[in-house]
Amino acid sequence: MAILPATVLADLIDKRDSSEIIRDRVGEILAVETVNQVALATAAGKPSPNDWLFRVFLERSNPLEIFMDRTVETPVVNVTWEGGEYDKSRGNPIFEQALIGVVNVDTLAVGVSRDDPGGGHIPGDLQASRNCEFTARLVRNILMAALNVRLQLPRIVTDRWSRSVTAEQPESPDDAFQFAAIGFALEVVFTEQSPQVDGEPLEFVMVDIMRTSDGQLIAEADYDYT
Amino acid sequence: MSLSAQARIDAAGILGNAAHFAETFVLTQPDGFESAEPLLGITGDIGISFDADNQPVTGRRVTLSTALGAIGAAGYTGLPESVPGSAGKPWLAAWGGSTYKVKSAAPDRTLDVHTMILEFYEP
Repeated sequence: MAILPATVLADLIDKRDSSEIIRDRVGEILAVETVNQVALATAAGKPSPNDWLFRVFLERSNPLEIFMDRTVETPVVNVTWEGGEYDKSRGNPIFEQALIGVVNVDTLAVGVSRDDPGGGHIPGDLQASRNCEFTARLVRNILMAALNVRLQLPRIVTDRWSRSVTAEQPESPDDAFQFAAIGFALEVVFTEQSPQVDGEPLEFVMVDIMRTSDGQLIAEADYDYT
Repeated sequence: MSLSAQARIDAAGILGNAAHFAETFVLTQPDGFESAEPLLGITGDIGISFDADNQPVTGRRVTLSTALGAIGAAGYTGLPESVPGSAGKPWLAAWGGSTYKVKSAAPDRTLDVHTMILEFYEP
């Protein structure tokens, strides 16, 4: 049996997938909102408005590197795309497929032991946890705010949910730094669309829909046949 | 002289030789006592890389080693160790313009060497 050669797509694939757009949008929302929160904290007269500041990165493999030279102590939020599962019960094989994906939003903070003028000292590991919890609190509240119910992507995202939160200390016992990390897994339900084929008209059929005087609906079609 | 005794003497000589690898540092015990003269020891500050849940993570390992006997001879009470509680001050070591808190300690009473793992500290 002869095998026909494969047919190729007519158009260049030159768009981002929804998963990429969503990951980037999560980063954008956080980056914009932290600046907004600092402004609100300043307006509210908070003694340390920069506590509401954090740095946002996408897909960094080693975000702790930013703390190594000790010039930066601002917490870091790293947004990464973990993956997802396609839901065959939603969508169709032709045009649109539904996906339940997970975006990881990891908060990392450093803490440095400090002298306490009131007596004693403030341990660095405790400070790291507090710094991390403060920023992770902002992250969760921002992403789960009503404003962001669809991550401001109403045509792509149908739902988002907080799947899990995990706290850990990503450091070696020998490390001179005290780090704390809190991972927030954001579950997002969205659709991916695939390239379409422009149909070729095979036959034109004209149908007139009419109503008779007694209310009956009838159809009259004109078409050529052989 | 036994080899172990010779080893202790050699260790003290290496840790206390400012002409070679040793450098001066100021040790502060929790009650604030500091010796009249700085101590001598071998310091280290190196980059480290380790695996945290299959993610490569970088860090810094700062260490300080000094002769056990030199600490007591300088008038300090006890050995530098970790002070996890926040009510008291920690053991501190300072050199080169930086101050560190003793994060963990590993006294070697066989060779008379006290090694400390340090973390950054803001005095």
